[in-house]
Amino acid sequence: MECLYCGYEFANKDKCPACQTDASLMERIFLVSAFFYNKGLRQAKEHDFYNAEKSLRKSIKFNKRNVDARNLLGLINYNTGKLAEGVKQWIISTNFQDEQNIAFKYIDNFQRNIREFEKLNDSVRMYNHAIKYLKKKNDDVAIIRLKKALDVNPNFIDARNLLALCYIKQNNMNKAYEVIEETLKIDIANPVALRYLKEINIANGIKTKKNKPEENKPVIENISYKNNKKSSTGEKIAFIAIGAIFAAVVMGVLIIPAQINAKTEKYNEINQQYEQLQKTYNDYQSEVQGKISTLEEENKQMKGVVDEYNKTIANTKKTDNIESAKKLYEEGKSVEAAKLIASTDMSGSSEEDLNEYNKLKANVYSGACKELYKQGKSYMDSQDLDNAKNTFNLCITFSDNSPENKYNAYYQLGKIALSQNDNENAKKYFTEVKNNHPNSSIQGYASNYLSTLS
Amino acid sequence: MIDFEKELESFEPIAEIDDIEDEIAKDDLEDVLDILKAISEK
Repeated sequence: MECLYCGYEFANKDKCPACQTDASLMERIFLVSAFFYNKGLRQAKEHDFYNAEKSLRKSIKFNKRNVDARNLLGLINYNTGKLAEGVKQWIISTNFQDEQNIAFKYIDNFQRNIREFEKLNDSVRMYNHAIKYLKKKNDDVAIIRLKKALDVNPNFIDARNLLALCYIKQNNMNKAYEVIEETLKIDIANPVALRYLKEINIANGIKTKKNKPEENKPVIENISYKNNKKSSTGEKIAFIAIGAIFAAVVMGVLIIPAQINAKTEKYNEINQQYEQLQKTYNDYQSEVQGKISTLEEENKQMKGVVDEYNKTIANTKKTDNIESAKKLYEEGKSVEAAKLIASTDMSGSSEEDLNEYNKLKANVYSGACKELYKQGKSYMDSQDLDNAKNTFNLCITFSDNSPENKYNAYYQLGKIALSQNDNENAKKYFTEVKNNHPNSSIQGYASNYLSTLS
Repeated sequence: MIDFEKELESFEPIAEIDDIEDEIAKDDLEDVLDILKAISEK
């Protein structure tokens, strides 16, 4: 079979391999559509066009691609005056099946008989005009239009019924009866015509007489659906297998709603599962969020503990450094003590600790500065100028409270620079000495050096 | 007794051949298979 959704051809499969549509369900739907087509065909043959149209519309509602049903529906519409509706069904039909489709023949028939076709279309226009005239209470003109419409197309059922209504309104029951009698020969169970007939009979004091279908003339002989070979074959098959099809159709009619219900239930079930999952997910998310908040709080607390610990460590280190520096200083190791003090970060210390630190620093630095100057000089004496330079620089670093040693160190650095022909630095150092040394004699020596350099 | 005015309302103008394209466009071509497909897609 050919899948109605994707057109894929397959056989002996529960589902279309291409789009996974349920093949058994599709098959049952085809059968229901075929059942209504056959019913419509039978009704059309009995000139029960009104009910045939209903059956055929059901057929194409089950399977819009049932071109036989659609073509027959078009034929009935065309034959009973609904020209455009008929052509419309054929055009749609040719879109669903572009080969071996009788609808092409019907459309071609129009194109070949365009004058007749125009006349039929005029009958529709006249009918539409008649409605307008009736709404304007111009019954006589409306009747003329309807009669003209029926001259062109005697099978125009709606025009017949409207004409009958006009006569009933004019209380011309005989004419109304004549029109309706003809109408019921064309369309034996037309409910509008039957209602009007009942009305006329009541008015005439007659019991409703039953129409005799066997006396009716065939009215769609000119454009016969018998020419449709495909329909005839389908018809034969349908009659041979009518019992089986009917059983299948009954099954289908029973099963399809059940299938729809099952699918709806499945959908609801999936929906419920989805909602349950959504709820679980939301709960889980809330739980996770709660855990994250707790962890963040714990982390914050831990951070506080760690900060406090680090602070304690730092304080301990400070205390240790100060104690060590004190010890080194007492042992006469001022330079080492000064280095230790310089590396100690006292930020965040109490005022008391800071005072103690500054007191120690002053003593230690002073001692270190003195010792370093001595050391520098010793290096100079032994012509180790690089070590001498480093030592004097370090001496300057610890010279906060020792201005004399500080500028002495500058003076020695000036001399070293001079001996190394570094006149620029020599000038810088001697200028410092000249401007700041507490001893005026040394300021004078520095000036002498500067004068030789300028 | 037939109420003519009410009865007249039930007669509607029929599409003329010039309206055919509009009529095709208006046609609801949805069938049971389309409905089932829509349900199954949900």
